Amino acid sequence: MSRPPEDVLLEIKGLKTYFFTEEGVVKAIESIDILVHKSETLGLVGESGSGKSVTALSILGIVPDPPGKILEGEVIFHGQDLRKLSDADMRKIRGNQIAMIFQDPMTSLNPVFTVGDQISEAIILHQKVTKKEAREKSIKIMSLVGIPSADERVDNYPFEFSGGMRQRVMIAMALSCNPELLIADEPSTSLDVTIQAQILELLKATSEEFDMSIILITHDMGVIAEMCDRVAVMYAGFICEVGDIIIIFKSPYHPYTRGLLGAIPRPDAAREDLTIIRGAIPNLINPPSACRFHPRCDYWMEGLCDTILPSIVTIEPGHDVRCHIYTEEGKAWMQQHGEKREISTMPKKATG
Amino acid sequence: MATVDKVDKEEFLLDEKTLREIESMKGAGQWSIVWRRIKKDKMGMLGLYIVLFLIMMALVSWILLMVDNWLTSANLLLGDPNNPASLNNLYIELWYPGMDQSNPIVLFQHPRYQFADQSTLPPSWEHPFGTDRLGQDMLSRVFFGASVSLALGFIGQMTTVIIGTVLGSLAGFYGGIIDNVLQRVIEVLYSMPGFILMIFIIVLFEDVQIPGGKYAVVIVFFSLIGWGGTALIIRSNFFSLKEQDFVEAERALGASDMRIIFRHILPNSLAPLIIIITLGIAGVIFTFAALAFFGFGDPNAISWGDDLNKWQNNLLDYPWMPMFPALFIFFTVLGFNLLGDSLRDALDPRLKD
Amino acid sequence: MSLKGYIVKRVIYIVPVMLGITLMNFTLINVSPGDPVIVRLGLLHCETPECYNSAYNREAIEMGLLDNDMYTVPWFERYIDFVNDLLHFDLGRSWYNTQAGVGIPISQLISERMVYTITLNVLSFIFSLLLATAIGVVSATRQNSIWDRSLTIAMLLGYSMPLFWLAKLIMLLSYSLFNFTGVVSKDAFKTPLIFNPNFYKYLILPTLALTLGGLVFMARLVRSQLLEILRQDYVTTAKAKGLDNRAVIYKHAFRNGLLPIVTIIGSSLPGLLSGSVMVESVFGWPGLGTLFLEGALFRDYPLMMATNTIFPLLFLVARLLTDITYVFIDPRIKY
Repeated sequence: MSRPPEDVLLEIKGLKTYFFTEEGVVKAIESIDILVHKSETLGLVGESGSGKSVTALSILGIVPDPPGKILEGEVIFHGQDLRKLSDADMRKIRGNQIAMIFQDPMTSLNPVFTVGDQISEAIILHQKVTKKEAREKSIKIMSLVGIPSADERVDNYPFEFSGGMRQRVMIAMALSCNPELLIADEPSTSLDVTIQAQILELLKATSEEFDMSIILITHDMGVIAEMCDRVAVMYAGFICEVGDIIIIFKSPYHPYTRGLLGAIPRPDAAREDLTIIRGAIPNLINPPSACRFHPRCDYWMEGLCDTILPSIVTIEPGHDVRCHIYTEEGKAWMQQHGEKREISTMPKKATG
Repeated sequence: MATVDKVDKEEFLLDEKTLREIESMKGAGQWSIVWRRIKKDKMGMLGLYIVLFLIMMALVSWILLMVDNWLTSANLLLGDPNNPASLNNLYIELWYPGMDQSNPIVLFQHPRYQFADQSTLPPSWEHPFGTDRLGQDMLSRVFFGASVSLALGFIGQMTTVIIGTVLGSLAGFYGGIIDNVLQRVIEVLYSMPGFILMIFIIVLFEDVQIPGGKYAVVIVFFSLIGWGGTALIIRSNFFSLKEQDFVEAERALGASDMRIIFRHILPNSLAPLIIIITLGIAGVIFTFAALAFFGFGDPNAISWGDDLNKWQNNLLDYPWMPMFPALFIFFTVLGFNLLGDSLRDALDPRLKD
Repeated sequence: MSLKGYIVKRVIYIVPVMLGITLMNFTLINVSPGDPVIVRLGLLHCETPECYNSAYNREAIEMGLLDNDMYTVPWFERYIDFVNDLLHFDLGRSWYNTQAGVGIPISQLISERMVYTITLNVLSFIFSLLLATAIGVVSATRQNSIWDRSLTIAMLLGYSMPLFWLAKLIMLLSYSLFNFTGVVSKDAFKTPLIFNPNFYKYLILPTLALTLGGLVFMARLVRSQLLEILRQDYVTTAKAKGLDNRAVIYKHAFRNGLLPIVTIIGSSLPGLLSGSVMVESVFGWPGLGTLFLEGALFRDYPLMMATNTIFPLLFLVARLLTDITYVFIDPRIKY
């Protein structure tokens, strides 16, 4: 399911971000290619440490430097490469056209300023309004995101809010300038389950109301299924598989996607049916060579997966996979070794 | 292709190696991890070397002086011990083949030995640090001054830390009225600038005679007023530790208070204690040097601070006289600060900047 | 509770601490060996034993050790007397500082000298705070750059340098460069001070020394605090909003970083006061520190007692100010 090129809002090509720490170079993002269309919700899913948040920070150009540095790649937003913009021009886009909300609302709000101050700060920065108008706008947007008696609470400090309410404040702050793209970095992870649902609901509603695109970062496949139109699966600095949500859930092509889907506990499945991905996410200072997933992969083609990085294979328009099972090299290897590597289209028991 | 293969394999092996290192660190105790961290820190190692060098110097000079005193009292040395120009005292000399045997280079003279007609000499081969107004060799003064200066720092800090630990543990473990009283006392002690209070006390108690000389009195009072900081840290450490599950479990098993304190809580307070001691020694050495500098030390003692006091007004005309003792105070404080900072980072990585 | 109530509470809180301090000082004087009267008489000249005895009795009565009938006064009565005098700002007369054979009232001495100490301390405190902020910000925002590394090493060296020796070195440097030692001479204090150029000339070096002394302490603190804060999530939030670096550091990071800095500076003020005593003494700056050291060297008990009451009072007042500052910068504080 592909959409016309004029529908593309954000395109990331070959993004590469490293962190130069004392222990060594952390190769957090090796090569990321993502497309985000207008008014679409793209899920970015992966284990913790796979580089999801770094991708988000790289899009906004706020990777902490030092130690982080974006080495290569283009971030094309509305046809212009954000990485080529000057600092001042980039700041006009941050918080204005692209906004971001963070994982932990407890620490993401500055404790010594009122929430009103923090919301209107962005409004004053990006729109030509007076302080008073900004405050009124803040109140409006706070009640929009469901904060009761917003006209009083606007003068409260973050510590006077509960976790869920704080995340609403964060969302209000992000929405305050009507962004075209919202990057939500695990917006519900640190909240109670009931609050999680509310926050996700709110995000869904506002994305429709404001006609904005969302990049939703999460490690929770359930959230992805609930919220997203398309999903990109990340592993150790690479995108393994991108595709329509239904395709990915029904017939994942990448072994890692398959593993992720298999790792979701289902009440209707027997306990031993829960597949797990063996091993842990690799140390990104010394990552495994070529396809970084190969040491944990059941389909590892020895001598191929660990030497040559698989190129991106388009299964059908809008569904890309980076795995040797589908590359020419991979097919040649299979022929040469007379072994077959094939993914069963359904994860074990996934259909229930 | 083969070469690529090889390189990649090596990379992979390296990763295995890192993993194995992590595994071995898991097995090793906390202390070997701390040691690894310090070894990585160049500044910390520099501090450690400075501190070790100074401790060696203090020990050697102390032993030499003891031997000298013993020989003198046993009448094994010829000459008059009360005459500073008498040649009877011990010294370390350097002689190498080809040199005139009767006239070797004297490395360290007895610190009280006065070279006749050799006062206020600038640094030279014979007196690398020069000589002072009395004709004493500054290098010897500095070398032998190490033992008193460092001992003051160690003893002063250890006594305050011991008092602070005991009182802090009591207050932290039992809380209630003990804790209240202790906090009020610390409040009062902390409102006085310590340096000023020390001077006040030294002046009031200068006539007290106890074995160990003037500095013994100073140390007694120093530890009586200086324990507040340690006590506060240990107290809060106790407060947080005694609520923790392993202590609760131990209590449920019927362990006595003493067992809980000595087997469980105190060992867990070791890290802050080590940091306090190392960083504290620097402060104590500095305080004693400052007291001596302003004339509240013991003019008869051989220590850097007292020498500094004696020659501070000669800085403009004979700069080497005060400069070398000051330099050594500076290096000592620097060494302990470097080591302490590094220890703090290694023991408590959360505090690392 | 209102802010006013909080301040009143903090002011009242000073009282028991001051009582504790005076009690401690008083006890120390009383348990110390040696007869203060004999110490006192050491500063007088007497030829004959009669003169000495009558002088002894006169002084003992004046000190309140003996009452008029030559009975020993119990210590608690003397303490109450002492506190009572203190409340009336009567600190007694100095033994060492005399005018026409009579001791100068200590309250007069202190009020004269206080100006100098406060000028010196406030000036160098402001300078060191500003410089420490600048250095801390430069270091923290360019972490591990050559600037950061050299500044960190410089701060570490300065931190390990005994302040009194730093003052001496500044003196040496100034002497070799400008042939000016900075040791205070009399013409520096011709009134009015504000229009006296010499006053400023002699103020430079002590201020420099004390500024450096405070600076090395505070710059380390500012740097590590800012580094800590710049890692916080809300700083990323602020950046994601599109704020520039200046706004992020000076608005979002700094106010948060200020909280622990204010606390630590507040509790380390006694150390800064000790530093002031050292610097004053090296340059002969006639503030309270020099007054106290003179008093100590010449065993001027009443003067020492008085300065030992004034120093903690200065500290407590300064800490009261930091506590109140804290209320203004941290909304979370409960009072």
